[in-house]
Amino acid sequence: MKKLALILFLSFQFMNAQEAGTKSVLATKRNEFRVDLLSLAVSSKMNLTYERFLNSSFSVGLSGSYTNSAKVNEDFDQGNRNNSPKYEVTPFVRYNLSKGISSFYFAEVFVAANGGDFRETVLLTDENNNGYYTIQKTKYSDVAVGAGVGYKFYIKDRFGLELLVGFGSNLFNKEKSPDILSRVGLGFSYRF
Amino acid sequence: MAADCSNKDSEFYNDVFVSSPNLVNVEVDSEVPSNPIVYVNATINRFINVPGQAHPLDIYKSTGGAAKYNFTYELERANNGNWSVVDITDSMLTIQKGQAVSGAFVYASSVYNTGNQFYEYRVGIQSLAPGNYRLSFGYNSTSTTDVELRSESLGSNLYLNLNSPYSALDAGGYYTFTIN
Repeated sequence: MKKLALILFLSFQFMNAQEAGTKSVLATKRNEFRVDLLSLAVSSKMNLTYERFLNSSFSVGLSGSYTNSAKVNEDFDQGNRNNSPKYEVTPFVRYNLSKGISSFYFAEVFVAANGGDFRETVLLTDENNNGYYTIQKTKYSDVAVGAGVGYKFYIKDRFGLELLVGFGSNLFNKEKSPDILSRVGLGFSYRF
Repeated sequence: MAADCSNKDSEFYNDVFVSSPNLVNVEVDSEVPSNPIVYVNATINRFINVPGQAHPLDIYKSTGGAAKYNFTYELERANNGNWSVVDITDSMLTIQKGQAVSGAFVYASSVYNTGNQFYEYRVGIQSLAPGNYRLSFGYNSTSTTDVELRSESLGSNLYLNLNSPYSALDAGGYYTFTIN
């Protein structure tokens, strides 16, 4: 039991020492680029983010994503869904919950301008004055607000790995846009 | 990663439902008294009238050229005060137009005729023993007023569901008749 307590104590001291050591290095690096590996692998969605660290508590950023998933397009064409999201532009503000530098939990709020393709069945009249139903495809756009939480840690004061889970709700065009937007990702970042 | 959710996700967006009366009818042909035949007919013009719509509806174009409209029906015979399903064999069916698959119920297909631009179905059930019968449309259907036909659409085309009220059905949704 004493040995276990000693190991825990030494581990804690080591982590604190490492945090203190990296603090000055990371604190001077206020910019970060990030790519979301999970969405790229799972849904063919390219998601890039720039984040600017304002101080030890707050950061702001902008994410941009574009997707052209074959699975979503197929579901859309076959009538299994009535919209096909294509893009999102997401400014966000984050708050560092655990005050760490090299690893920390955070919470964020975001606004997402998003859009894509929408389909609906319409009744038209042809040149012979007969009615017929057809599928009409148009574009939609909407704005969502939401929030999320995540965890981030850095390796070699430069490379970061981030897990993010967040959700938002579209506000203005729910007849055509998805009701809920998720912001879930596993990001790999470079801080400079 | 993004998974965009909708409260409409459970829906199938390629379905269209319209109502048009009397697209299907039943006819008991007793011309040969020893072997009366009960015909089910579904001869449907490509252009149907739909209440509430200003123009005839092109049910062929709406489905991207569906070759068939399918529906089902089953036959029951009164037996000591109870109704029991008549198992219809191939030899009992006389197919004049369209397609029919027999069994505990008949899977019927009204087939498009490019010559006259009608969907056509006329299939009779013969060799029925004397007794009281009732015919109902839609295997497992809960409708007591409509015959429900669905287009056999291909690919990503729309599926047109024709709900056709048939005035000869009783309050329980049955067409009743007697074979003497």
